[in-house]
Amino acid sequence: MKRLVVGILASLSLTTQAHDFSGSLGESVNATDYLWVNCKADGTITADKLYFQLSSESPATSLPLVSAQIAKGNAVTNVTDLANGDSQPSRGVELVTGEGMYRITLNKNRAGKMNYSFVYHCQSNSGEHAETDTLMLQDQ
Amino acid sequence: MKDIPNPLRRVCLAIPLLGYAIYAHSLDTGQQSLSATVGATDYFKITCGENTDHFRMSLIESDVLITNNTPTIPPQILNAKLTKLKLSAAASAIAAGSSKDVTLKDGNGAYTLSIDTVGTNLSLKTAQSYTLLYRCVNAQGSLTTGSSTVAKPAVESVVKKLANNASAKYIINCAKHPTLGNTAQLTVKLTNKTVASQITTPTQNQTPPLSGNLAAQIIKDQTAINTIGGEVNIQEGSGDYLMMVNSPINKAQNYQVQYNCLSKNNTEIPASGLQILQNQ
Repeated sequence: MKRLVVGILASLSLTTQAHDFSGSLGESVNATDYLWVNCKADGTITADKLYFQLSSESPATSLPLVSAQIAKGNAVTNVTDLANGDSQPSRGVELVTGEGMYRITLNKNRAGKMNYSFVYHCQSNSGEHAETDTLMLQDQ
Repeated sequence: MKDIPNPLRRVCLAIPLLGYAIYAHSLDTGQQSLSATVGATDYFKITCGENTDHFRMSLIESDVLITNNTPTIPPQILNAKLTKLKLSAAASAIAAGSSKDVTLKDGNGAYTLSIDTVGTNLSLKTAQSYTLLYRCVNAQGSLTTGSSTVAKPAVESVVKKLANNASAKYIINCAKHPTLGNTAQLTVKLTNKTVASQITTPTQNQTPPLSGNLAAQIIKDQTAINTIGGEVNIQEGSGDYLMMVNSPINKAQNYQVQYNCLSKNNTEIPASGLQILQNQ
């Protein structure tokens, strides 16, 4: 079950769009959730990169670690929330590969159901938020 | 940084037969290594040819491959040693079901026979069984006079027991025979009566354990699958399959990926060479 929230926050003169996504991965170690995020310019704000930060939402006793891969073109990075059950998300990562479609896959390193959430947004190099369109392709 | 990638291995057999060509492909990435850099991910592309039904791959952590070497485990054995004053003679490693003679040439007198289990496989806990047969003989090999608490001369003793790490001692007296003269030597035959144990070695799991320290994802079109080892299939036909390899705990790890493009009936379909998109 997925929940996509697009919140619009006003901060000074900038319009900031914060994208939050929450979901779950099924029992199988092969379970993978898969999204496309399309980054586009928003007026004069260019979409230079995608920012991403992951949180495991399962209790500390859960054994699997939830990871995400963000890929575009010939570049990919991996990020993992290394501790379950705490309030600390993963490190924030940026994939700087310009406008276009970014692939996001979410998975885990052991069998077991896991809940997760992440924050993401397309940005310009100066950190302004560009247009961010999301398409859920696979929910396992 | 990553080691210099090994060349990709590709074995391709093309057997022209009555105008048809049968291709057999066995493809793998060769030995790859993932660095401990945070977020490090290796990224590959494989293009499967026409008539591909599915893509099959196996992720193998190279450092956990288990060899099939069977350790050599020695059996249960007995050793015997005869001593008299400053002289001695020994017979060693008398295995279950076998026997050996030990002979000491020192005339009449008291001989000490020592028996131990040194060298026995201590994982075998059962005490060993044995018998003794001794002969005091003159220079011509005729039986002279002998005596011992273990048995009468030239008569096999009753079965004795000896546990691991234990030893036993017997005194055998050889004397002058009234008509055949002096004893020249004592020979003791030690027979290991232990039932030969079936030595079993622990069954080794030939499947590398899945540590969860390494993961791979395959993507094609709108489908993705994750694996931490073993074989996975993704059924998305011909075209480009993307493969990512990473470590959830940012561990430096050697690995190998084996892959095939397969038809509906699992015959192999020619695939492109592996294209490395990112090497971290």
